[in-house]
Amino acid sequence: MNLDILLEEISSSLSRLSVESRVNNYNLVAARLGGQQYNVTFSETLNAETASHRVFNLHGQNTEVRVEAQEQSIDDILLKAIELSSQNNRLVTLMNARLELERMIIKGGR
Amino acid sequence: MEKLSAIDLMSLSMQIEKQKMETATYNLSIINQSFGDRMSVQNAQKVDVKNLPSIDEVISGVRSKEVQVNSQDDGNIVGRVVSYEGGKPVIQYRSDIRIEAQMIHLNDATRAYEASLRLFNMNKEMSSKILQIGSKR
Repeated sequence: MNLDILLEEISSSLSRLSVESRVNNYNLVAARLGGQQYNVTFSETLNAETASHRVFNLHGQNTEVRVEAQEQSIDDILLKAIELSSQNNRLVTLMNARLELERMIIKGGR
Repeated sequence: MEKLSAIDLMSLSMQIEKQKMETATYNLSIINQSFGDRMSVQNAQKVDVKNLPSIDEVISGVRSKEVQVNSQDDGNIVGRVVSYEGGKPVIQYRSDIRIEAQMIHLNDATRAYEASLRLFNMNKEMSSKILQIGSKR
């Protein structure tokens, strides 16, 4: 895969994780205050620009980010946070491995 | 308009839990105070959170208002206690706070604070891990 495309994909996945992480943390605050909790899901074609655009169109026909009310326990929230952290680490490790490969290619080309 | 990150949300959560712990401690401290008249009785407190960000703000990562966490009067019921001084009955008034309920609130707040701290650290690690992109091992 082209490095540019990979960079874009990883950037998009990281921004998606960032949004999921914020919603997950919000759920903990909402759970303690007796508020509504939410679950956020994304379509496969998310990019960072459209994520902020969605806010103005929450109840409209937006296919990029879907938010639905869902009750969650504190255990669920903690497990979700571990999962998100693991995904984040995986992405960074993958990116670093690919960059290392690129470095080796450049070195080999000399 | 201020930026709202996952770390900010956990910081807010810890602030709320700390306030809840302080409120429960205050309520426990006034549990045995008796007063000669009904008006002097100190009211129990509860935590009030204003301007909590909406889900839209959380998703966009921008908050419009500063969140306010305060304690306010719970509007509790005043209980009457009859004691005897020199064989004569004396009526005293005290706040009707249940010790078991306050202890549960205190315990809940402690556990929630720990959970918030754990999530705070996880988010901090995630942020520092992202900074490792491109660094040589």
